Amino acid sequence: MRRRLFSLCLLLLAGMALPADAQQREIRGRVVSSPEQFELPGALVSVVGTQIGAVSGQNGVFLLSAPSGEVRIRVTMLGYKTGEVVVSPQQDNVTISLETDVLNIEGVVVTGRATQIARRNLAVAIATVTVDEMTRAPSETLEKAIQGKVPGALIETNSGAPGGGMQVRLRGTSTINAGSQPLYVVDGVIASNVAIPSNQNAISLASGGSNPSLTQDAQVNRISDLNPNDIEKIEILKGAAASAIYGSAAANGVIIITTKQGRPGKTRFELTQRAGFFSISNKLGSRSFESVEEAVSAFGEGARAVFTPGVAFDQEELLAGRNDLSTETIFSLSGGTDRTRFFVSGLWKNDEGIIANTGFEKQSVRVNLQQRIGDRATLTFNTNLMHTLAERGLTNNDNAGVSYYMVFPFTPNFVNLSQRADGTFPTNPFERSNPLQTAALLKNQEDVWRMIGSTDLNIDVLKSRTQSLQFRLTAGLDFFSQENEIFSPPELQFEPNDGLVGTSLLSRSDNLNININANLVHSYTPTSGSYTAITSGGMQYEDSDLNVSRITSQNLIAGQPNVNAGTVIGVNEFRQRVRNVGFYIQEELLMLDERLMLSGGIRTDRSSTVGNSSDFFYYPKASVSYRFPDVGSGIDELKLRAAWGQAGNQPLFGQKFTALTGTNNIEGIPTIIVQGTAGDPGLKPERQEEIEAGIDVSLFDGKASLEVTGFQKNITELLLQRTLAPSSGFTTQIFNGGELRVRGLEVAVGATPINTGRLSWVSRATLYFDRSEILSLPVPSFRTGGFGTSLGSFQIEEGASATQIVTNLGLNPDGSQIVGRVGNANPDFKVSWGNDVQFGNFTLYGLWDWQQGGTIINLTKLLFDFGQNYVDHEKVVDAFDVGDGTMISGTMGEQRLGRWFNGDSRGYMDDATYLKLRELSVSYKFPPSVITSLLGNAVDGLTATLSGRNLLTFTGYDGLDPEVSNFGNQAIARNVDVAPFPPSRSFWFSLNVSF
Amino acid sequence: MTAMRLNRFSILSEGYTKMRKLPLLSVLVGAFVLAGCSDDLLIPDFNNPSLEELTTSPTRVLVNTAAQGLLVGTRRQMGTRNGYVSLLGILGRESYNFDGSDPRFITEMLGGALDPGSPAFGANLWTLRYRNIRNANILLNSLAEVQGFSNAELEAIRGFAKTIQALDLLMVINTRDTNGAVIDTDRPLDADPAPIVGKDQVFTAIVGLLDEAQGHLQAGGGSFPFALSSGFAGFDTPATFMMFNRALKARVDVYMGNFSGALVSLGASFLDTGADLNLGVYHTFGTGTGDTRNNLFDPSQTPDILAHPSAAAAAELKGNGDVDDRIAAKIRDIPPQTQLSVTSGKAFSIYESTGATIPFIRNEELILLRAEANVGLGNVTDAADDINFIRTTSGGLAARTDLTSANILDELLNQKWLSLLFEGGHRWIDMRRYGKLSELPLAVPSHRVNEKFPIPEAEQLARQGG
Repeated sequence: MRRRLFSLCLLLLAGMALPADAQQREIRGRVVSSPEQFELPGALVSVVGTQIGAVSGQNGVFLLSAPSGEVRIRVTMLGYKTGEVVVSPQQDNVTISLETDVLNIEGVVVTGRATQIARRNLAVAIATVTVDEMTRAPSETLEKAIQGKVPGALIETNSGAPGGGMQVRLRGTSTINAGSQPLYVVDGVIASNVAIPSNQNAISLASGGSNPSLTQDAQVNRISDLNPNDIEKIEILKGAAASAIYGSAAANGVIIITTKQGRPGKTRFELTQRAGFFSISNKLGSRSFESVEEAVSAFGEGARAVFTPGVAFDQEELLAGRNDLSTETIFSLSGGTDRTRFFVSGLWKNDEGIIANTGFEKQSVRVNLQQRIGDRATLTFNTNLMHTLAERGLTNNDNAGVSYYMVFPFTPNFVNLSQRADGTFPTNPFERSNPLQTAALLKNQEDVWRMIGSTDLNIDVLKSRTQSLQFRLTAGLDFFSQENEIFSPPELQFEPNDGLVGTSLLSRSDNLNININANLVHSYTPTSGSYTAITSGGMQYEDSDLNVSRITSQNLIAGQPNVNAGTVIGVNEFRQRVRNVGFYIQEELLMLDERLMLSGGIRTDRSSTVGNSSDFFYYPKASVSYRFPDVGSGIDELKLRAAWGQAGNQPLFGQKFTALTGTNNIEGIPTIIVQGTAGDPGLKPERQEEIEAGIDVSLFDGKASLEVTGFQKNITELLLQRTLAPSSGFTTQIFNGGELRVRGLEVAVGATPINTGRLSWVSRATLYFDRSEILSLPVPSFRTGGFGTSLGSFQIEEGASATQIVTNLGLNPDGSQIVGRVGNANPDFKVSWGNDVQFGNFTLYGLWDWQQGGTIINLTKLLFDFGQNYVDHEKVVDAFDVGDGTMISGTMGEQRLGRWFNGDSRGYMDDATYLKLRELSVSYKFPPSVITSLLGNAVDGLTATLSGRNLLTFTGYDGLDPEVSNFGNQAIARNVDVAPFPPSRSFWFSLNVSF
Repeated sequence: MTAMRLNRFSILSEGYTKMRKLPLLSVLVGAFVLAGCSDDLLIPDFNNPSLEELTTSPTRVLVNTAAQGLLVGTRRQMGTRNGYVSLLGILGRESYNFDGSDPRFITEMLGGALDPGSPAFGANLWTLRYRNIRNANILLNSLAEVQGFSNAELEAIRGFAKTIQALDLLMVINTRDTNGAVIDTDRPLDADPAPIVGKDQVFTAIVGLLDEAQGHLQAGGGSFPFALSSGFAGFDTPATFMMFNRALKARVDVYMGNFSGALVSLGASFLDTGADLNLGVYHTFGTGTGDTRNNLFDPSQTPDILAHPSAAAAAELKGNGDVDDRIAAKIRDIPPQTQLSVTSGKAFSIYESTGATIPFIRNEELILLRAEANVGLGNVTDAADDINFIRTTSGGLAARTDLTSANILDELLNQKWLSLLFEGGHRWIDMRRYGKLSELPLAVPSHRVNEKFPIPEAEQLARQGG
């Protein structure tokens, strides 16, 4: 392998002819925006049919050494449509104006590690989201900012808890047991998106003490640390056809984040100040009681002394009814000269949660510096320091009666739980804890400091009319330190229950990612200009090291939270380290008047996670697109495209090992013994092969666009577990096998129906759906996730959807249980619709997000039914016939529970359809005359905005929120609703000043 | 490393001619390629000791730790409420488990057929025994690779490991009886599952292991290189451990009907009528982090673990009218509990703390094994001496003078029952060996006495290519 790559590089270098240009002339030009005539520094200017290019500098000015004779000059810039002008042989001065690209159909898009191409030639459906689209309504995290904006991406919150915890699934389910999150790359550095549980399980006992993975801790995936306002654009490679160049880490897609850089010219200062609040957007309600008899029948004799006719408390409102002031300050400073550019930004965000002692704070400082060295090299330094503090209360499943919505089902509305005048809280006589006391006194903090930095060196080794050679070296790191501190003081009602009063939990996690990428890009256009060939190749080294250590301390009688203050102390440490090395080579060919685009490439890599870390795995790709310009009858241009590629999904750390357990002892004598799961020394990455094909149409003079993409992914070599003969001493073994197929369709439509000077309307819509099927499964069908079939589970079986939900469907005549399919965690389809209407200085923007179908396992409702405390226990309905003549009578809630006891759980498998108004904003841009009179000449922009997020939700789902996952981010087992953090909407007023 | 390269590049970009850049660049590219291919990506399992290390590059410390692991491995499922002592106790009508959340302790263990698919019941007591046998095989294989042990130390480890293997295999065949078991246990994981062989072959294999172990121990020098728990006090050198080995051999001999062999084995064991009846080797438990508790300790007035009332009912009275000392010590009265028509007002006071020990084998059983061997050989007088020794010493009862070849077996089985009550399924195993399971009392007429555990479903499926 080594020799092959090496000689390839030599060949590549040897094949370059040195430039021998004859006559040349200088063209001086200027790039401006249309119609405003703003100068546009930072635009890419090139002579069509050659490798000659430049970047516009201060005042939008550029200088080109062009061949003599007539030339065509092309200018591209993010956010603007491509501009082209013909420059006659005599002309040496030109002004090019670019129109705003409101539909985002032009610009350049990434095609590899170091190459880009004009979107109109792109052969795969790579979605781009720009900063303008992300920041219209404030969002806490990156994922929230792109929710509903990318066809093919299913982005959902796991609960309403402040500070993140969101799942991004690109093009459906790609795995069963391996990692399910896309790869995030920030300025060339792979950023960690790990979700580290807080260890709240030590208090909630959610996993019953038997599941060390603690996935019910409402954990936050760490990409939430980033500041969305720093981002210039996000490019989303959804599947293997686009992401093959990222090899064995790319099967779940790749999200490439590029942060802002300064532009030559006047230094711009921009300040946004926001103030707003969060407010609970949905409550479950609870049963009201008319008489003491009714109360006693539901809550036992204990209710007799507590019940007072006419007294009812809205416990949910008392818990989650806060609307404290939240603020956000964003500033940025950017500018530079032709040689030095800078972008400096800061963020100070403080979101106050709807429950006491919950909220999310984020601070971020970024410095991006770009320096040209000589006329061939550019050095870029990007550094970002972030701090987040998330306080998330105590929610999700528990077995200790402590999670708020686990207590409400058993707490009637007539009991007063509010804080007394002396500061103490009443004991909840109906459950083990008082949620209002827990919220007031329990501390659950996640404190993260993070640094992402990258250094990028770009050298134009060769530059001539016909060819260019670029060397690009990027080295970067991502380091974070996360501290989780949970303190449950002795005075909490539930604390004495385990005999150990007071609990203090301290977890510390450090993660360091180091990346080095080296790339060579050679571009060649013959003098005839008939084609352009771009050859690129490179090498990547990635190292990731995570270390999590936890201390559990109980019996803190004195109430001191230091972990050494307890008498029962447990410690635990978990480490994982992954190292990858990869190489790639890629060829892109643009020909036939830039109509035909052919591309092929291969990536090879090896990883410490696979059985034999010296084995190379190969991931090829190929794509083709063809443009038909000026088709006529309203069609400006039509492009057909098809792409094929492969990518991998690495085994999880440790899966290849047959591990021994070293934590048992006998009378303190250390021991090692084998574990029940055998690794596989030949373990390989899962392999995804994807084919996609699509059509892109630009209509009515750029007033409308349409993108349609169909795809099929086949994932083979799935990481599965097989059952071994127990007499071998082992019970299961990880191995590669089976096949999963996902097919889907993505449609994106954009239009500007009205675009007059004073009034404009831009409308965008997306439609997406996918279907998965397990094509082959070499092990017997098995269940994964959930809590067993009576409470809804996920069944992996040949011929069925990977995300199907099975549950109890009733009893056979012989009394045995019928278990069968009842739904699917995956929705039938997703639609989003966003509109911008600009009228004079006013802009109105709204984004609707519609999910049709999908099933939720609503165990919160089951708990309320258990407690006979749900509103459905007031609804009288006809008796229900189980089928064999057995009638179940009573209220709606009683019947549902009665059926559940009779082996029919369908009453708790609910439809997840919803329509949400994700984002809404109205802004007013003050006219210059007003600004001058108000603030003087220094200020050149002032905008006031009213905005909101998740303002409206329409759903038939009777839980708190149809976006829910008790188990956090999951490849399969999403949509399990167990006592989540209640959802909220947020309202904001913002002022933006620039000068 | 990066800084140096950057440096070189900025020099490059400023002054060097193009001709000189190209070779330099290709050298650089070549360096990267080389680095990528040669860099070692081997990353060990940071969270657990690796099996590979133990098998391919074992150290003295690692091997000793693995040897100590056999104690933890063989202790698993001894002190649990659905473990060996508890489940065999239920089948042999020594005990009940009234766990309210799982009725199968009654419906399956007392009332129905044992389910090969229920891992906590019928399919139980198999996997973890074989896992420890695998532990021992891994340990034994590592001895061929390890450096730093003397030959005597290696022999001592072999003797220890094979004795524990024999013990685990004995526990397997005790539960499966004529269903047989697997004896070819050192196969690679990707090999076909080993055949299930008959009970006789399994016993032959156990004897083979014990005898091999004896040979190793004889060459094992003066001490073990690894640590043993306090349960091995007095049996913690190769020479004294060999007495434990012979004691187990005596039990196996008796189970096989090799009564003369049993007497030979007992002669080399720690049988001693002059010593405490509790002299022996024990599983130890603890409450420290990483240690395991004995959950047979159940002091509640409404315990899950109950004593079958039959032992107390069958016990004789002493001369002074008090009940047999053994019953007085081992059984306590509780308010009668009923579950699914099964009632008992008795609980145990055998395991009096979460750290209470459970015997592997002890002096009292050895004396009874000698009696049983003599019964088998027709030496009624010798047998009666030992039986009466136990009656008087352990029970505080009067000696019986009416023992004949006609009634001595029943008396022996009664004494074994009371002496070894709830210590490891002796009642069920002994009654089965003499075809007397039908004599065990049924709390509900529809109940049955299951004779043996089935081969677990997973074991059967593995043989069907599933």
